[in-house]
Amino acid sequence: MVSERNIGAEGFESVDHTADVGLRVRARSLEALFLHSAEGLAALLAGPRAVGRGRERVFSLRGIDLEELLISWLNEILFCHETERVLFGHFEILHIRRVEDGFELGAKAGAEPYDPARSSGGTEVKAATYHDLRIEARGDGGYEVTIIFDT
Amino acid sequence: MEEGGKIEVRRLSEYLWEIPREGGMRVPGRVYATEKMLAQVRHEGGLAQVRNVAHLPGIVGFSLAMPDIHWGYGFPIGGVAATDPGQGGVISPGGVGYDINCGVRTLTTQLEAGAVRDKLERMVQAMFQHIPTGVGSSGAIPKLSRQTLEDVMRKGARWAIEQGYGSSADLDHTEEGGALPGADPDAVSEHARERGREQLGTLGSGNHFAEIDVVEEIFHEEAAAEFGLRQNQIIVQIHTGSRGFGHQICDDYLKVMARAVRRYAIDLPDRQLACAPVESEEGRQYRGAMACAANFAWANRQTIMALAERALVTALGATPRELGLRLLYDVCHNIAKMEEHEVDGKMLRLCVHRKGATRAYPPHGAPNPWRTGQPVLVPGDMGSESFICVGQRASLAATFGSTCHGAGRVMSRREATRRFRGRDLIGELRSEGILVMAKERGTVAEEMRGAYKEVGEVVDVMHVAGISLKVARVKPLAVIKG
Repeated sequence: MVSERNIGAEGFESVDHTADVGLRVRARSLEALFLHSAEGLAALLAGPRAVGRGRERVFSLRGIDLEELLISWLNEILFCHETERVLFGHFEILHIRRVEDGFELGAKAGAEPYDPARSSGGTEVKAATYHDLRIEARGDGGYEVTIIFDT
Repeated sequence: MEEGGKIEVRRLSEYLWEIPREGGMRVPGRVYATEKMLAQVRHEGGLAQVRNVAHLPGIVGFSLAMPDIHWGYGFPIGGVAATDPGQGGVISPGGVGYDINCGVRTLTTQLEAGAVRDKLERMVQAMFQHIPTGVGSSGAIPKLSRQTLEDVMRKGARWAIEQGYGSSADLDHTEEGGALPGADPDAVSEHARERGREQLGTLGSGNHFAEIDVVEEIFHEEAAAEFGLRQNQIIVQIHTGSRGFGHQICDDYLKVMARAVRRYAIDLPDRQLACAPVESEEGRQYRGAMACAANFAWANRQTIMALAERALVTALGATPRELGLRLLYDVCHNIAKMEEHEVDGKMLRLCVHRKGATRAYPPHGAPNPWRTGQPVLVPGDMGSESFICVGQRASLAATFGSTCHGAGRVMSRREATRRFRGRDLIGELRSEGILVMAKERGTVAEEMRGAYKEVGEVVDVMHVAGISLKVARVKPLAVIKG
């Protein structure tokens, strides 16, 4: 299962959802929210094993709003994980900016090859979903979101 | 999570409840459930989802929920909704689910339980070796070329048969003959194709499985005879869907529909109900892509059935004729199909969404060659019983020819992992005579009975309602999981 990291004001933790897996993420900035969301998904996919630095991968995505941008980002990580047989770590958000038809994300991550034939304790994830998805600003200037993954 | 506590529900009978029309609901909601089940689903927000689905443009009849209802994405799992394209009715990817054409295939054999009890270990080992399972597994079928994947999208189960997996007689025992018409590969993204190319012939993880069962009880002698079921018979069940191919198509079209609801000014209470008119460009494209995914799933189950046969023949040192593996039926339980149904005395062509629900047609109805009715396959949770049922005429008027699909979860995977932590679940099941081989042991806790509703209670509701009658109860002897 997903390991929790310093949820306090910053980090991610698993939450209960009947059918699937939920992740609550809190951060002081939008960029950090996207970063910890990716870290949470990566932890779910990798299971308890540590992920090395691997080769650098650059991501560039767009969405009509921040929620779609977040889900697109997570599902892109999932897509690469599944089709290229890599585990991700060492994420870095380069930018989140408004563009004409929504928002754009630039990011980097390290992609380390893994052997799916070897049992890992990882979880097979069908998709990051839009269920009850709201990126909420907190009173202390930070952000929070709960993401439900279909597993 | 939205509170379901405030939603008014009226009891219509022992097992049927109605959510009256109010606010933006275009039709009432109807839930098939016992009182105990209703309290559970109310608590977790499923009723709110039944109510929300009733807002869909062009929805007719009722927003329905089967007794295995639980909280899903937009639509509840166990949800059925039919829309009328003639009234601007919509199609919604959330009403199908990420695992397009997740479904079940049940196979009968000539074997008796007594004759194989000391060979079960060998049989389950062979199935575990022959059938790729689990996280990121590749299939028995090598990476597909672009053209071949398109053939799979169009032909479905027939493609697998052409490769030597099973025979064309299997198509008469598969919903839709193993392929939905109207598959449109041009509507399928490159991402979906990439995910699908190496996953054909794989079981997947989560609640997917292949199982060796024994028939323990017969309820309906006539249907059992027609289906070729008898007490103590060994049967095999396979539960899987369209893998990453279908998941990607769903995600792709949720984005398309998020833009479509703005374009068509559709006002919805839940983003995951995003949809477009069936006859719109977006609606047609989704139908075309969904059909590709559905057909991929049928090709997948057809292939895995043949792999299971090879495994068992090897393990038993028997010939295929001696094994006598025969496809009883294959049903989908995550799909949207164009079907003719009578509404207020008129036959209408409707878009019927079944998300965690199974078609349950009566005899002599629509495309149905069965004397007693269409077989309905209802798997329970891991280590627990499953049921084979038969569709009845009452289903057409009541539920657009639909019934339950399985047990329905009551406990989150996290809670299940906590609840069963420290227990040797595989050892416990073995002591009960159930062998489990799982690639990821964590899945065993997540899928343990106790995390699901009692499937017997679920099928009983639909039996009492006269929608689908129980034919046989089967118990697992061995399970393989990802």
